[in-house]
Amino acid sequence: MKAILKTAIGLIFDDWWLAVGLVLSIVVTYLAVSAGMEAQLSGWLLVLLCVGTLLLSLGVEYRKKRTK
Amino acid sequence: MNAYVVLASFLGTAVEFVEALTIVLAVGVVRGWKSALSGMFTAIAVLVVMVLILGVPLLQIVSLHAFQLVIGILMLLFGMRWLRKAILRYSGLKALHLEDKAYNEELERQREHAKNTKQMDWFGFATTFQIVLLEGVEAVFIVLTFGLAAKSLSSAVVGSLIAIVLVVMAGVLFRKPLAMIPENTMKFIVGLMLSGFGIFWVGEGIGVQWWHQDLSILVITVILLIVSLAVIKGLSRKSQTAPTINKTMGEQL
Repeated sequence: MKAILKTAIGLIFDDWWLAVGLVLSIVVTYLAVSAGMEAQLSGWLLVLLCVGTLLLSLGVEYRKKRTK
Repeated sequence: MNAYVVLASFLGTAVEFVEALTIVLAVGVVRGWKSALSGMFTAIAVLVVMVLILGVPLLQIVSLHAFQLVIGILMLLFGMRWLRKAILRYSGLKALHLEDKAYNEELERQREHAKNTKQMDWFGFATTFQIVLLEGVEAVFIVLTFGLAAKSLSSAVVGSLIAIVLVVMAGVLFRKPLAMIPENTMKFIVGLMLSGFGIFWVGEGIGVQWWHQDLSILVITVILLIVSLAVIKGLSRKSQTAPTINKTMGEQL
């Protein structure tokens, strides 16, 4: 449990964009499923949002390094 | 004994066991076998206790979707974090930390970890515990569903036992070749796999119907691999042309 908690907290403080983006991706997909979006299509929406989150997080990291 | 139930149970549970095995092997190579195997055996013990106490009503008591969602979120958090670090490392951006005190401390910690691979690593323990528990619950559901539907629980149990024996044998065979893969590559692979599994389970947990069910894990992992390789290429090129990053890299060299 301690390891799980440490990793989860570590993720949030390590990279805020990634943590928030992943949570938002899950919430948006859940809302899409609840709103009646086709169940198979919503799966690919989740993949797209998670990949987008990863790209956003990497982009932010690159900008940070560039301005240092 | 019902041969059809044996075969159906074998195929159904073998998929789950292979999924668990890939993560256990990968975590074992990267984080040490003691933690990986401890997590696996603890999960098996929990699973056995759950089955012994709850028995067949397990199907009604445990909400598989809630279970998948919670473990899926954790896997996604673990996996994406590893994947992000691996991409940054391969594209040269992580190397910028070389002159940082924090990086040297981390390097020292990893060296120490490499020396003491027999020490318990709780990250590795938690990862294998979760995957084995989730896949185990899914396998139990398959056995109970097939067994009860065909009124031949013993056939379903035999099918899953054959699957477990074959998968464990495969694990023993693949252990050494996997250990020869470089550590950074292995971490990248583990990041990809955990992210792929995480997205799949989160989807299952919130009611997504995946294309060809478990086969989607492979498709998601391949998508993540392609995106990661493209990002590594793009970032490497950018960091070579960016003056501030070049300067820092030059200072390191």
